[in-house]
Amino acid sequence: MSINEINLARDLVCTARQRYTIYWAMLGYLLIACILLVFTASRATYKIQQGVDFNRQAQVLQKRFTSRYANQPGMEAYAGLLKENLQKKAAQADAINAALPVTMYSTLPLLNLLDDPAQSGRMNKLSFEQRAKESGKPELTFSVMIPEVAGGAGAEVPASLQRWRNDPILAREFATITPTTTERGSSDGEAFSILKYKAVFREY
Amino acid sequence: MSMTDKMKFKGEHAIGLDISQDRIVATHFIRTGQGLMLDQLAVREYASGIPDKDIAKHIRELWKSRRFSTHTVCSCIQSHAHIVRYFRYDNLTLAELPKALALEAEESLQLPPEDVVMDWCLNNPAGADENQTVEELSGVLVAVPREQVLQHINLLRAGGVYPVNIEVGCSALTNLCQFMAPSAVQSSVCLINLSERSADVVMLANGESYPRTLFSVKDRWENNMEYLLENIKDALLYYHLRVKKTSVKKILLTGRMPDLPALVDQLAKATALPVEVPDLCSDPRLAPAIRREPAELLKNCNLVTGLGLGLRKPQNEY
Repeated sequence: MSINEINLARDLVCTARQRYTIYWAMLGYLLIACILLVFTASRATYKIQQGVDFNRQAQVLQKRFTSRYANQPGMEAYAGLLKENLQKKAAQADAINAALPVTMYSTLPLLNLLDDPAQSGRMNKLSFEQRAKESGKPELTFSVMIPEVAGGAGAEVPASLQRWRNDPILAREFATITPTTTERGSSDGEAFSILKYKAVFREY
Repeated sequence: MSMTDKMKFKGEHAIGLDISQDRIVATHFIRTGQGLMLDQLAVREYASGIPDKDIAKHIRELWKSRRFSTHTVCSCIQSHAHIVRYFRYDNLTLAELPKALALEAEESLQLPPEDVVMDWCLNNPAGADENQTVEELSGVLVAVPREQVLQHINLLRAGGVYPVNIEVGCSALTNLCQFMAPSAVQSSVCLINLSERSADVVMLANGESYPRTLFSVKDRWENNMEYLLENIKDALLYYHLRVKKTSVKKILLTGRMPDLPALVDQLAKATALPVEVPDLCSDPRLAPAIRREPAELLKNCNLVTGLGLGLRKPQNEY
């Protein structure tokens, strides 16, 4: 060692080796801190972007609402009102649902077929019993008037009955359609037969 | 320190920072294709005698204004209390040397060992086994009161810089001489660097050095010329008698002195040796950065210590 390597602070400051270690440790720390900073900044930017988008959407919705529902005090109040109405309607629907029978019977398919006098005759009477005396089940009783022609009405009855029984729509609604009585009558000099039927609804 | 470690720490560089009575001189050297080159020189004046906290403020402002690339500094102690002493022991082992030097430092400074900071260098360090008696052990001992070193380190830290080397004016002077005139170091030369009230004197021959620091306590050198000349003559004589090696061939005189040409004449007469005043601006590695500084700031400014400190290689410390 020569005179120009004298160092009075040799034991009072960090050595070159320590400084070297500290330097790289600090560099590593800085690198990690930078990575964390970038990560945090990107997350924050993403969230801010989301917030800005959300705000923009909210403004668009607010504008659309204001233009469409000018008389309403505000979106929140309007939403409350709608909710209240919806609750009322739901309560009404519940009440109707509770009042209605479990099974709904429809006579429309039958009426639709009986609407053709040429095929089925003219509808005379139609009655419905929710609970029939004999069977205790809902029953439909109806009669049709058929003008008497040469050969009598007896030939017509099975044909229309067979057609009803084969009809898939009627088969879905009614379990059985059976003839009960036949009467004869006249009106305005014209003789006709009155055929009575009993239809039992299909129960599901 | 191994060669690998030296290479590993080579990237570290430091600013030379000389804080004298009324000036701060900071120098930064960079390594170029042609070797080391002075990259930045900064001089800042302040009122003499201001407290350390104000000097620290000046250091901070200097660093802020000059935007130095590092805060690591090599500085030197400017204290009247320090000793720089040539030593020579006969028949002593290297293991015994630190104790002998510690005793010498305690005696010189009249302080307990825990209050003394010292360092030394050997003129002929090669070879010897630590426990083997060496016929002649010679070198330079530097010792300073610990309090002053700590005060200086605290001043630098308060100034926002980190000291890695604290040395003395003589070592900085040797650094600069080895940089500017490496051939002169091999011949026998006496270097003198004058500050306002102190003078670093170093005799260099064959890579060995004999340093001494002179102080003018009462007055400036220009008013105490006789004392300066006497002491330089004494140093030369003592070197000649004690070291018993080649006699000094010439004197290189640097530093601040209002009437430097007169001193050159007187010194030449008193010592019967040629006296040269090296021009720092004649060295192309120093001149560009020196010329960039305002001339009035450099007037009566001693750049030698600052430049010598800037040439210090911090990676040599371990």
